[in-house]
Amino acid sequence: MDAAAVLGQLVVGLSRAMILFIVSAGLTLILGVLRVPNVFHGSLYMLGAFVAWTVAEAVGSHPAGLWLALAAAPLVTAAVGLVLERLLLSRLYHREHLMLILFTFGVMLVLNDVVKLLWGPTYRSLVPPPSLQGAVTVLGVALPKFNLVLLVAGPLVGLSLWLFTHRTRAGRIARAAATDRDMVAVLGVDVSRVFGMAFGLGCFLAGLGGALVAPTTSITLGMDHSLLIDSFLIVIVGGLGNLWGALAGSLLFGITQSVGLLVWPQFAVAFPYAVTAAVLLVRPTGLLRSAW
Amino acid sequence: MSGRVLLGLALAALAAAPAVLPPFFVYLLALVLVTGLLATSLNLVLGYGGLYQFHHGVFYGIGAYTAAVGITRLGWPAWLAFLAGPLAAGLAGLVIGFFCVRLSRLYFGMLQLSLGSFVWIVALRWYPVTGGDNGIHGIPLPPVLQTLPGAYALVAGAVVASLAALRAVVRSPFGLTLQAIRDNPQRSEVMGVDVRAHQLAAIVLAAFFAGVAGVLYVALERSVFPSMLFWVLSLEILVMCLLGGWFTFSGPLVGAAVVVGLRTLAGRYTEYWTLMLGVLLILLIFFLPEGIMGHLQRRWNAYRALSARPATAGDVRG
Amino acid sequence: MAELLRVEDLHRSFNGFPAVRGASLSVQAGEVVAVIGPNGAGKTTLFNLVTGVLLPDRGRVVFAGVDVTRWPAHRRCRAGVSRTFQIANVFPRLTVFDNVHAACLAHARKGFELFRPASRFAVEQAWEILEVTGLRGQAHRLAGTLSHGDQRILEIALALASRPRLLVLDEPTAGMSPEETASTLQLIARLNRDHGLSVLFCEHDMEVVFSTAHRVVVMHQGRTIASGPPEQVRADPEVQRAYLGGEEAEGPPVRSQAAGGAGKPMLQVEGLHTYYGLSHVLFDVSLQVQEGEAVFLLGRNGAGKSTTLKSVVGLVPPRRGAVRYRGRDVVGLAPHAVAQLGVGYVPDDRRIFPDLTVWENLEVAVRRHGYWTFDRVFELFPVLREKRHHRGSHLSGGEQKMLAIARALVGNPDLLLLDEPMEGLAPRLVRVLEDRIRQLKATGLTVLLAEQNVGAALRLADRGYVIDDGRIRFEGTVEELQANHEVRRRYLLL
Repeated sequence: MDAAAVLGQLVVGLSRAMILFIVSAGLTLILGVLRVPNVFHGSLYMLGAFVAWTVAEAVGSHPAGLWLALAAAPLVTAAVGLVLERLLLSRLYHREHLMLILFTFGVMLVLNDVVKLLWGPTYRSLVPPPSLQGAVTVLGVALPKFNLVLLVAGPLVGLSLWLFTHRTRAGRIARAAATDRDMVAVLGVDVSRVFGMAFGLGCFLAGLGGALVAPTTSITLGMDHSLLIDSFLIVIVGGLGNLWGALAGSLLFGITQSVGLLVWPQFAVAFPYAVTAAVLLVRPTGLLRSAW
Repeated sequence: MSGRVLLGLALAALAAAPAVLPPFFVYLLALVLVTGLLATSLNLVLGYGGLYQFHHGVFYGIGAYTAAVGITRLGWPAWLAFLAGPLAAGLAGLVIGFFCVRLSRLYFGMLQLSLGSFVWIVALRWYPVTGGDNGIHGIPLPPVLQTLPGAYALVAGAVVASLAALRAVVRSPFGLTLQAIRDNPQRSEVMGVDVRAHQLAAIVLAAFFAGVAGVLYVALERSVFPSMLFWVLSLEILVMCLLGGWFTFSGPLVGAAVVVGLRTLAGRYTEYWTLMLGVLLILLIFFLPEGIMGHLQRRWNAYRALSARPATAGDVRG
Repeated sequence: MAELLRVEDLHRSFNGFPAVRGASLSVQAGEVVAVIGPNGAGKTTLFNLVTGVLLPDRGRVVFAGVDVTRWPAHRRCRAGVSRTFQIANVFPRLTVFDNVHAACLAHARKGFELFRPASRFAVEQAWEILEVTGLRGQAHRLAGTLSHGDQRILEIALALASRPRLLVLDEPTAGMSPEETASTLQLIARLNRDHGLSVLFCEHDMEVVFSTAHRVVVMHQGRTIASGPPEQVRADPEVQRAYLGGEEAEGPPVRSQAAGGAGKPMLQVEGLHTYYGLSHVLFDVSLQVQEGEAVFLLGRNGAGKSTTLKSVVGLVPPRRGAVRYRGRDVVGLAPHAVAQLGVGYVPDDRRIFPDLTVWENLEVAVRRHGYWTFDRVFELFPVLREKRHHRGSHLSGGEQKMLAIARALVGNPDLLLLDEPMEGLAPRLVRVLEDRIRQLKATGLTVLLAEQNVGAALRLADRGYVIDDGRIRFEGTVEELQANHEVRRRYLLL
């Protein structure tokens, strides 16, 4: 096992962690502010990937195709999420948790079949533009160019989210609503608008994650299944509603899987699950503070 | 008393089925029974215990895999494998339950999801033992079980016995105490009840019977798949309980019948049966949150209260 | 008579706040002893210490000659000490019969009996208890559908299931109608007389105590200050001082311009009936606040002050009745809509946002422009300016109260609803806050002040109402209330 292989794995692991972070950030935002475990979060991720593919295909081989796809996909998923929240989900907030989980599960079943309906069961591939294909050699290691893009995208998204929740009034109101929605209402803020915004943003991030992962993997039905459970575990391990926690959890996940690939390739996929289970056994509320 | 009559008729119908129904429907009925047992076992901790058992499927899968691995890899005779399955599931319930029971609500469910997913991924990857993502197929069973009537007899008999046992548990002092814990754990504690121990016992029991369902599945299908350990199945069982009514005993059975029936029958005509299930679930949450049996039971109670004695103010629950 | 319970010099603090600091009492076998005291006196904490829900920092609890100070709750339960809770704490989805049956089974240690039906055990005991408590007729109703009063009786039934020798009841008649109160008292008397149960209970209503208790123990600020037969205690000068203390005016009360009903009506509440679930909590509540006035709503803990304010604001929508703000019907409006109309609300539990800084807390609330800018608010509460970049969770209790008020002000409301701003504050801080509220009033702000602290309320407001058990018991000016000893004695002192 040489340094080049390790570095290569690490980069791949980190870029995978970035995707997980973007998606989990959306999930933890929704969990923190609305207290809804969004089971169809993964379906939006998948939808984002398919929409990105469609847009890129439509534009053709023009290099702007990918960027357009990266912009369009999250907007579509945000719109879908927002419509569902405004029309249906918002009527269920006063119901018990289990009902919300089952509702979002029902939506997941519907969305998955809608994707199957629109795109069929065959898998797709999204080829990145020539400028982003291939690899770059760093310290004698070939690093896929697109993975480097992901390594930049992740922190960028993280920074934007942090700026939003800590430096804008809307973001601060969202954080206040996460701890005490009634008090926020009594101060004159329309809490349902805050919820809508938070949910829309969360769904936007899910779609963004899907669009970003599209060029690196095959786009298939079922790509949402394992991502959703990974995302939920990350969010729980990191602390509900905690953005830094989502980052920590994602890094933990991505890196332990890379370590696994170096150490015991056959069971590499199991490493993150073992580690998260271990963390939860010791600290069931997560590594960092939960919003509730 | 009409309940007894209904029960008698149901049992008679079950016994007569292989002689009367075409083979496909006998198979379907067996599948409904197995799934119904699985859902009812979940409801012991969900509806009666108030626990967020999000990954009940793990115990089902462990029961099934233990039997499958026992027969194919360890050369056990079928009866031993079928006994080991539920025991292994119960043991898993003890271990997983021990850690989860210390947590409340959502965290309980999440830790379970995490531990269960770990079991799933191990089964998915441990090719030599579990068959990896293919699972294990064509498991050799004694000749009597290789015929449909034989398998059906085992399934029906075991399910009826298991449901009877579960029903006895629910009506025992243990069952009442469990429901009290569900309604108000602090109050139960003050009354002298060991809340943790009760919940753990309930989880072990539920896991055991999920394991029974698992080995019955093996008897029926002669295969196991890693999807039995996947979270989607666990959520499906949860849906069955909700659909049928999770504060009733027969609710999960009804829910299982609807889901399995829908999947099999609708699946013949369209590939979008999950869409239908999803829509059904959403409609249910909005319009029938107590589930089918829950709703029927409430109507039945109201009807009885109205007709049996003069209504006193506030007595009839609307 | 044998001494059944002895409590010796108990002390218990929470995060440095001494809830109980030197409480002692005794209950002889066969006695009914009542503990009285205003909210914050430490009664519930004392009961938690006696029953084992909390452990004391100092002192002893001796039951039937055995030192049980360190015993956990369920162990004391088995030894014969059984309690009820202030908030109805039953099993809502079980029938009344099943509730009691479950308790009997727990006492009979049948919790792990798996294979025989529950109907084989402890059934007679359950029916017996239902008979004694008068719940037999409701045995098949789901406990969650019972009226509030009946749920409290069910509480007592549950406590009886463990065959106690000492029954500890935490405010058994709180929230009950007069009829329900009477029947509960009869039940307590019956249990004591016919079944030999010793009873320790706490109460606010002196009438209740007078008619039922053999002895009365008075608590004030965490200490037991008097003990004896009811008449003797009532006449005790130290007791009188403890409750009347602070009523002397410090400085002339500020009379607002609109005192005497000359202004326009700003808030009109008419015939309000509010429920928490199935519990009927407010009965036909009506009150009025004119523009520019300061109105008090006095009542003890649990009287319905907070619920009234929450009904006005829309957090707990009333089931019947009208609420009009500036002539406009606001029942059914979402809380944020009511706030946007100009109603400011400061809840009794502060509820500042712990994660946000003081400045950010205020920023959330900025709604309209008006007199109250950040600068003016910081002038009113200089300590908030100092700590404006500190997180909410790092403020002291008093500072959080100030922040809660500041936050409501920053929205420039026309009507300010203050829910118990003085609660839990040290006397020095109470005076500071009084002064600030006086300054608020001077700016012309209309104020509805819900309080337990009679002295402070009477110094700050012009006229007002007394509420008890969800009903308005008195309406009038400060002078009229000061002259009305009956009302003060019944609803405000104890």
